[in-house]
Amino acid sequence: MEFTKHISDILIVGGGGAAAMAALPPSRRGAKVTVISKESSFVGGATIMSAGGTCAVFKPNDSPETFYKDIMRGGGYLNNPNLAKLLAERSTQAILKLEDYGFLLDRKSLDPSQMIRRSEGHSLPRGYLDRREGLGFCHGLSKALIRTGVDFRPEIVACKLLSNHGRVVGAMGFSLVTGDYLVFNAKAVIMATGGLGALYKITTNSETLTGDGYAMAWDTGTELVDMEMVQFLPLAFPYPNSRKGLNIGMCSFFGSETKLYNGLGERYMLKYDPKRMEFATRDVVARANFTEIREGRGTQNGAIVVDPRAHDPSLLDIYKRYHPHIYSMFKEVFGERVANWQEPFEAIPSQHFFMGGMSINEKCETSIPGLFAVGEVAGGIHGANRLAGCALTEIFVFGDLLGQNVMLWANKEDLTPPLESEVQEAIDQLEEIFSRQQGGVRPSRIKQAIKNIMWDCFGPSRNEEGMKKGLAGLKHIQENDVPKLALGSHQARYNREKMEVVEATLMIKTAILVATAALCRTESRGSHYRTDFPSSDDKNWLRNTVLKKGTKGEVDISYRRAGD
Amino acid sequence: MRAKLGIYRFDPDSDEEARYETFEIDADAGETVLSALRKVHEDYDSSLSFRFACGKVKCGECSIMVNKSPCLACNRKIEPEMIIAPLPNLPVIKDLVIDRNKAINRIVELAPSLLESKVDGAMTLESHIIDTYIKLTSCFECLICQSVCPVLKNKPGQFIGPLGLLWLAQTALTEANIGKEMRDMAQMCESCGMCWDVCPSEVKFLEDAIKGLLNKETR
Repeated sequence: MEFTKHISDILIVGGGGAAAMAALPPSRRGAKVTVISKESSFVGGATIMSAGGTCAVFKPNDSPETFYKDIMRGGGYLNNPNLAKLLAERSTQAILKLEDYGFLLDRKSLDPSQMIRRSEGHSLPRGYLDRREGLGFCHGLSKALIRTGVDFRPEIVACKLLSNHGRVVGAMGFSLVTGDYLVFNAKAVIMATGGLGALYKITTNSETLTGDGYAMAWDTGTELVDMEMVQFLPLAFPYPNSRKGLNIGMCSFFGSETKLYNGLGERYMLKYDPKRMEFATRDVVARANFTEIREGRGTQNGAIVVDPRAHDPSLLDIYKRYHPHIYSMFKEVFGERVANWQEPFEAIPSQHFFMGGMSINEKCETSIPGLFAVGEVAGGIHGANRLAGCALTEIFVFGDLLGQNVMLWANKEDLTPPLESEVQEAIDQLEEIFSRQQGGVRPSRIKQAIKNIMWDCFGPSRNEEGMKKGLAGLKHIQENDVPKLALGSHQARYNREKMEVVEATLMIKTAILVATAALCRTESRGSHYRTDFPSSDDKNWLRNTVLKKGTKGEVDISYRRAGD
Repeated sequence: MRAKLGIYRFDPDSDEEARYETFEIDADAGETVLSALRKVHEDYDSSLSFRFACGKVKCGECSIMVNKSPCLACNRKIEPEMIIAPLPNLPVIKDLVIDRNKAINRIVELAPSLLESKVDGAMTLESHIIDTYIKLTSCFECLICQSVCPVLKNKPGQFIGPLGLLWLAQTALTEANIGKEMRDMAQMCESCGMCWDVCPSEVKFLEDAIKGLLNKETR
């Protein structure tokens, strides 16, 4: 099968904010930086979905030390302390540096006196809230990228990382538009493929976030860490389809008198956190909402009810000014009265972020030479649970750090070509699936089955029985359905289902890794909560779960003491 | 309800000209056009090509024409009869998929100075300017405005279109006046208002941007 080879200094897989931040410094310095993304826009990915809040040290009485302590405490002390320190120390500078790229931040929100809210887990107000939400960063960065001449290749589906003599040298993929196979070869390969929300039935994430990077990294033998740590938000839109899963906010958003009710009219938070009630941390409330609905106490629409009516009027004013998009979504979904907090409304919990991923050091290096990781696909920074606003901070801090350093690394290296045999084998395998006759298993069926299992068994509340059943279900899909994957039609041009086939084969691997890690941890910590082990066990479990592909393709599990 | 969809089909690899194909599906009330297209693809004809990314009205990638009006497929509710076509006046890759990058690169080629950053981190800006700038940079580049512009349709090689004018307005915000060349480009706009009428954003930034630009002093 023919393919076209493409050489560059740096290859970045992924098209979100982390990819952009990592691409800009080397590109500005004249390096040839190629960015490949499944999407047609750069910058998109997870970043364009974000609510626009990014946390840093802004207040005069705050400090990186205080921020670091909050990050560690939020992470249940599973965070890599060196990475957490970098995040805390470089947060402010990384955000302010964005203006060097030629777009204005929402300056009013940057004024420390305007920092209106303390997000839970933070000792002080730290949130810079951009009224454009994620879009502001995305479009500002995208103009900077066009200026620097980054080689952006839209709608390229990356399928496999390529290695030679124990180092990663590039990636194999195909063009969605033409169907042609492409081989990218570079001195340094950066994985910036974002999170795995699309593995879950209900998520704030875009449909493209199928966790491709974790599976591709896994296939090369990269170490993955904290794969059990999935963050859920408590309150998301329950309908319509065009909004389902999108974040509404925390209860504190509506003020300190907000109340939650189940379908029976009970204030159920009494059962889960009698001290803090509706103002418990997001993982506790998400778990409560999930459990109430799952155990049949939801509303007719399978939701819980939020009552914001007893709010402080000044808060309503602030929300309309700083969250115009949420206000307009409220109006659209629930009507004017709910948008003005005059009536209760329904909400459901939703998957939001993934703390685990490719294990990295302070230079964003993974366990395999030549392969770097940045953004949500990298793991270990946030430990067992991420603080609000730190996902965007992460991409600004580590994206820039990697962008500054990757050229230093690449300049010392010669370009190593991929192995011809590995390339041919990978392409042949994919071609074999693509040429299967109709009548097999369509990828959408596999994806839907994965979404249901992950939501039911690896959601905000887990237990051994459910997880074992879930893992067995996933393995069944892998052994029985995946080998029968077939397209509904075989045309070459813009055959979106080819992308879905690749996504399905990667999703199942990522899902099994999450499931395996979740079953291992016999305690509850941060976002990983199990009813059969509801407390944290510092004596035995201050350690990170590390997964690596074994010699026979099995999941090799090891543990690393936390803080090392 | 039963929904009848007439969908534009064109594969440049094999077709001489475009045609419409009809599909009938069962749809829930309140279902979106995107979800209907996915049903057609899944159950009837998986050779249908259409583009989407987030599916949740955030990324702007799924813009199409429905019953002669442009919209985001993920945000448009299904009706019993719909004619679905790609955005007009933009190069078609296949079926409902247009070449976004070609359309955006056209603006960059025509007016590279649009990308020149005049924004500097050390600038002090008045509060109302920040507010306007924030508003003007809230576009999600769905290209709907470009597709309906009559000037762009007639002069594709000369005009930057509404999106280009928006970019110009963004950079011009921090300048007292704009260069003559850009002023001439802006004046090609006929102020017909078609672009800002169809903009899917709830904020009327496009209208404000273009009107503001046409009042700007020249250097």
